[in-house]
Amino acid sequence: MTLFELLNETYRGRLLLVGEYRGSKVEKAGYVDKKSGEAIHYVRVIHLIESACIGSFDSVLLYQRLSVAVEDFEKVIVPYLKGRRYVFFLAGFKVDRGLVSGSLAERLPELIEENETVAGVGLALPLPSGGASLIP
Amino acid sequence: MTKSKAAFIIATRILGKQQLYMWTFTFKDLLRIKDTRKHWNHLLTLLLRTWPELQGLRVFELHKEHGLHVHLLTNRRIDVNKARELAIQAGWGRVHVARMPKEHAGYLGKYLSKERPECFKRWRLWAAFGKGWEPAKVKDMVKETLFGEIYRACQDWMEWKGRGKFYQRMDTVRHLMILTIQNGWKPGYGPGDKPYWMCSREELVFGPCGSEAPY
Repeated sequence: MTLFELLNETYRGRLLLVGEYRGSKVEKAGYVDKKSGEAIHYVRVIHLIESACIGSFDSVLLYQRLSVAVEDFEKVIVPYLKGRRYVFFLAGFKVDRGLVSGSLAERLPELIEENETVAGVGLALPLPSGGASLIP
Repeated sequence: MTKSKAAFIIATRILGKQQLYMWTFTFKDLLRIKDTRKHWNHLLTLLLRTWPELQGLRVFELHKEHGLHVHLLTNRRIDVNKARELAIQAGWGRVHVARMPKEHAGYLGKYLSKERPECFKRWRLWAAFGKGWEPAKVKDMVKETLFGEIYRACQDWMEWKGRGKFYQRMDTVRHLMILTIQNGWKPGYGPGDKPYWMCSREELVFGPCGSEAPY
């Protein structure tokens, strides 16, 4: 995703979070009944993101629930690169005692192409159609 | 998924060894929620008097337009005409029944995922009835998550008992959870698969750009 596309998505009001990807953990989460031993499992991925949501540095935990068809969590491959900046589309989020956590929407995270400089974006970008200037 | 929903789905599995039947009871008129519950208690009493071996689960659903509905899941066939008679006697309106493959029994669990309306505060959204079976209970559900694994490891390490210092505990577990993901540690263990008690303080703090552990 280019910075222009990112700006466009933000302008449309999409709930998203931009942050540096720090790692993931795939887990088989679920519940077990102590009495009967029956269990319900689902596979989910927890992504750790470095962002600046509240302070200058925040660790953000984003939960991504995988389809029920995914049963073997060890076979799940997380294709994101550590240290690279991604945009994460959120279904919701909460802030609990300074820790931001959220759940991902169906749209997968996208790598941000950072060829343009941030300063250059504001100056070079055409406005989204029918939009007002975001730059004072 | 909430504990309650998980317990419900497991209860349907325990109930549904054979064929299941899903019943829906509704009213002709819109009633107050409390009144509906009274009518339900009356109907359940009548049903159990008529079929003492009846076992099942009931789920309350607050419909957008038609007020409170009651869904019932039973594992034995009962005479629908007799059930309708009893429903009318207890003041109910429409009664609908359909066979349900046991694999679809969790379908009713979707009502438990909806946001709980305020009028349902302190209500059991689902409950089991009937003798001779042991349904799953919310209190027997053990959650298996990364957070839970780390929490249990910390509990052993720091000998946490009771509910004291709740927020401090949560902060510690979250901190270790972040470190576990970032460094690819085995859940519940520190670097090099060492138990937490074997790790030095330096090993359990963030790198140069992070904040320190909360303890």
